[in-house]
Amino acid sequence: MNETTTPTATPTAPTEAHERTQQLLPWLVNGTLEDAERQAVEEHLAACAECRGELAATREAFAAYSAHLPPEVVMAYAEDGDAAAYPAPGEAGQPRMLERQLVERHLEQCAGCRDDVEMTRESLGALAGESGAADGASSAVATVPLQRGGGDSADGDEPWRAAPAGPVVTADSAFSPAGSRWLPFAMAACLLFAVVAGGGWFMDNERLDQRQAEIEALQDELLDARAAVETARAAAGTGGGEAAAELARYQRDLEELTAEMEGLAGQLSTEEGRVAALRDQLASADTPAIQADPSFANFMLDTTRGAGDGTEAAEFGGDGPLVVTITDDGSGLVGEGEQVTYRILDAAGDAVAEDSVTLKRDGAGLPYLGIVINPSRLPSGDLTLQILDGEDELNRYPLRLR
Amino acid sequence: MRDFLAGDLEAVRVVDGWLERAASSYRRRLRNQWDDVLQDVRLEVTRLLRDGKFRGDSSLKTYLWRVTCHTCLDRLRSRQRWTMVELDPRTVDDEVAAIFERPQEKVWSAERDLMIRVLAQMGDDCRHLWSMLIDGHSYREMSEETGVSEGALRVRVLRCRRKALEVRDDLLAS
Repeated sequence: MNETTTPTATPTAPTEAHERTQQLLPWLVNGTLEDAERQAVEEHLAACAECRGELAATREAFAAYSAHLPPEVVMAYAEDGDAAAYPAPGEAGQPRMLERQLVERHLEQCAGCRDDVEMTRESLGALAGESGAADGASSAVATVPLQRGGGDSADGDEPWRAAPAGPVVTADSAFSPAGSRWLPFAMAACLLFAVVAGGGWFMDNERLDQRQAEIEALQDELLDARAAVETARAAAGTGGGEAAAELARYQRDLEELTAEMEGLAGQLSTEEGRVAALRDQLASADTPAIQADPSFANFMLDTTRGAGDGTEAAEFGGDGPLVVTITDDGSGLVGEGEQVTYRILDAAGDAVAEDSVTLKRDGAGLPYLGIVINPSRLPSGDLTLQILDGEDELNRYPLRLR
Repeated sequence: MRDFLAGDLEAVRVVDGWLERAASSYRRRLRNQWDDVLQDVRLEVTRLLRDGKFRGDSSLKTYLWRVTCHTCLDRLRSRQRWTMVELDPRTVDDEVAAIFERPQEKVWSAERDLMIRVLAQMGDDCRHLWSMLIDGHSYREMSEETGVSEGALRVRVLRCRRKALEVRDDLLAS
């Protein structure tokens, strides 16, 4: 009896398992299979080389269907619409071109890339639109005799160099100034900002500009989110559970944005006090500059050697912006990708600057924190750089600015 | 540039202002990462200028704009990359694990261009189905959304996968 049943069952089961596995692979990759399905697929994969090949093919399909225009193409297209100038490596070192027609077809179909192009055009407009003192100063900086590097740099080192050379920011730029379509909302945001800041407009400080821009951007997002909620609410009235779920998602987004905006308004109020104090200090002090003392300025901090070790100070080249690199000794300052807060304290121990920074890895794979500190934002005298994980202090380093 | 590297306050202020303006339009999408990206830009600019990488092929302002935009777009791209699930190491051998560990960001630019060309030849149906996949929808959710039975949907997705790879192979052959 066994001889009659076994031959019919054996060839059928593997074929079904193959088909079932191969059909489920896309959802294995995107992580949405239920536990039982996932376990069955993984067990089959472990024993089936053919299906492992199918898994690799599925992954390649993910790469194809999630393709986006590279940053170089987005920038070239935003710059002058001529993305045909974008070079890509071809055979025998000959450049290959991503044709304009292809770029435009992709843009027709990809909302994300269209948004990227739009933002990049706005970025151009933002620089082209600046005026007054900034323009005068920019000329001064741009016309300084240029230094040349000691050797050729690889494309990978400076990928943006692949874009066509030539002036970008022109007075007759075809692109609109940044956010012109949001002008009415931006004005409303400015009003909100003015109320919250309570006269902070007169404090010439970059942080205030920054907060203002953040509030404007959030105002845009709030408007979008509110519109989405209205649309979803209308759909929920006539639609089923899916529409109601969508409405709930949009409402959560709206609540998050509102909370974020309220947080920013609070920060703005705090900034105002700090700006006032800084302004008083700057008005009464000599022009501050980073002290040339290598034991305090432009040094590389190293948690393995303790604070204030300035042996590598020369690397940062004189009195430029204070570039602080804090290397981890591998014992785990924080986990990779985690954010820590750094705070600058004045001589009295009060915080005069604060920001967050993400732990990264350098080319050798060693973790580090990289911080650039603009001296114009700091009071002169003895300072302390404090590194925090939440409210827990990880380390502190002495600084001095004169 | 020399003034900036020398720490001249006005030059630092001007350059920092350019960087912030250039990056400002990306703030909406980068949201809470924006400050971090801007800090990356400052570090990169300081490094490039200090190392003499700026050669004067364009104005300094243009150069800094490119560095800023590239950094911001690159960060947005890294956010868009879909995340693959990890397989259980107890049931999967090294060969499969290697497939999953292959870093997406190390795809060659030539391959990246090829993917753009492949995508341009795919029909709207396939693009729609796979965009839902990339967005992390289960096949049940996709079935409900498209009104196609689960079995038929899985077959369609598989067919679209095969079609994409056929197009890729044709392009490579040509």
